[in-house]
Amino acid sequence: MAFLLLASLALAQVERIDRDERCVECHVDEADVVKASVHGAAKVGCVSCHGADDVNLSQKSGNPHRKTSTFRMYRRQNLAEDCGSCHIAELDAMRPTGHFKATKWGNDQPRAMRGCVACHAHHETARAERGPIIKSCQPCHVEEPRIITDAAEWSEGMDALSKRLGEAAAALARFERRPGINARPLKEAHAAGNAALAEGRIAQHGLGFKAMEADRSRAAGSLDAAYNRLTSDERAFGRRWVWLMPFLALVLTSMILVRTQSRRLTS
Amino acid sequence: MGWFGERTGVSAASVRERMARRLAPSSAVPVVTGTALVVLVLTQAVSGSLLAMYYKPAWDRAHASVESILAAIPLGWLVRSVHLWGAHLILVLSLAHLLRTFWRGEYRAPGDLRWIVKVLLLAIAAGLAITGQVLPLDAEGHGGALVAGSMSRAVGAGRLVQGGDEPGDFMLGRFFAAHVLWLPAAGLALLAGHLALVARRAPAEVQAGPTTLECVGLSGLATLAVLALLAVFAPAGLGPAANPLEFKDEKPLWFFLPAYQSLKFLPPLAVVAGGAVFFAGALALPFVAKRWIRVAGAVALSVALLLGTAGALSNRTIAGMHFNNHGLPASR
Repeated sequence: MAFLLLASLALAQVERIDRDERCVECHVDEADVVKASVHGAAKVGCVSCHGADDVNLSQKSGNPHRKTSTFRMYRRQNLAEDCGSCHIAELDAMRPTGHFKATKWGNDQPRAMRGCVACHAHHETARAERGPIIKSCQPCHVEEPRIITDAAEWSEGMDALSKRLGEAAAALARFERRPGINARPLKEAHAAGNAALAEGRIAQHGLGFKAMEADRSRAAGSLDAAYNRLTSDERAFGRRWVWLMPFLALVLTSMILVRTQSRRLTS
Repeated sequence: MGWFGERTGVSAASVRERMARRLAPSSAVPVVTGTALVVLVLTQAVSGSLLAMYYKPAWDRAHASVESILAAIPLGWLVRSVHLWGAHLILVLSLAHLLRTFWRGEYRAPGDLRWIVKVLLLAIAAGLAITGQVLPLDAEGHGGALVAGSMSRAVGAGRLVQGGDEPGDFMLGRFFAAHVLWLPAAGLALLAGHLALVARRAPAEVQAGPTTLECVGLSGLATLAVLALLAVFAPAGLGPAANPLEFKDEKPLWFFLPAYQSLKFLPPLAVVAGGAVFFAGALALPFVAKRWIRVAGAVALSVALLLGTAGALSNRTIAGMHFNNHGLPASR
């Protein structure tokens, strides 16, 4: 019996898999998805999140992973240790919320309670989409529609701010250092708006939408004001020839005066 | 004789007589270009004084201050445009004014002193253009400061021009002082002398032709109109702030292109020496035997143009010749 066990172990082709290139030999579909994601772009691969594992490469059926202590399959319970090891600020924002506490409760919770991957599909690591999130709020917050509306309003506001920032960036590329057009207020408002957007994207994990709304609407308001000022500057600069006309008329009149005076002097 | 006339000897009648005098075309042309130049110098003085109120001659604030003149100060863009276009027009017109004098041989006595004053005035205009181009410290001005620093070190005047071991705050301070005080003071004094010399020379009276009043008045007014049109319809912009870690070749004002292109082949010392020989030759022109003048002039101009063309056609860069790729002098 002992001999048989030893023989089967000897025949088993167990290897330590600790490089993404090796994972990809089997996990082709996942590899394609990750490669197309923000993690792929940032060169964050399989081993960065899942760690290394011993794998029995000769095993044809079942799970060949040995699930050693270095291997991590994502469970919402280790959200803090895993996603949070890089996304510290988001985790800190989320920590005081009921959603964070709920990740420790057990597997029978609805989707929205299942940690980071509930909203950010795990291999795609996609930016959370508003529709599915809001929908997934409903099972728990069916009695509190205000929470859902607040969240929806907040996300719409973030989208609007992001769109305005794009327009402001395009305007800055056109007008920066152009004579007669003061792009500096827009440049400052754009920087402040970008900071508000980045902060909002982190802070929204803490779900305090009402409190965050003031910061964001202030950023959006000053962005709008600066943008309007820039366009009015542009309009005024476009009409600059109007200022020139009286001056040219004065010069022309003076020229005529010089001619007549010259005739008077010589006559 | 009124109150003013009694004290100066300039009566209304004498001014009227001078203004009514008709000029032959040969006398009218220098009056026209000269008046245009005087008007341009005056607009430069006014626009420059306005710019000096907002410009900050500090290495880390100069670019931002010009940016705010351009955008935030009411009509700052117009004043700066007038100043820049005025500089171009002054260089074009004074070159034309000088070449005409050369062409007609008027540098000889009795015009020799006028010629020397004109050459000195052109040199001062060139100095104002060099210092003025550096002041905004955009990529172009920053490149100009580095090249000027490198040239001055090559001729042993590094500390004099830079105020230190390398271009920085003190160099900008020197350039600013030269641009707004030293050079304009010298230029205005020379210009006053030049005008006094010109006023003493009464041109021959002719029967037909424009009156002096027409030449002076129409030329001055037309200059103002052209300047305003250029400044309003082709307003001067500003390059991005210089990146001190990245030195790229930036072309100087067109006036200095031959010297700039020569730097791609010659050491700075040779370029400075060449410029000095050119300048000394122009000053000595009235006193040199006539047959040498055309030969020397032709050789000097051909060498400058050849070097300029060769530099423009070659793929060498000044950055490669004199700097490492961080814009620091190659010798350091």
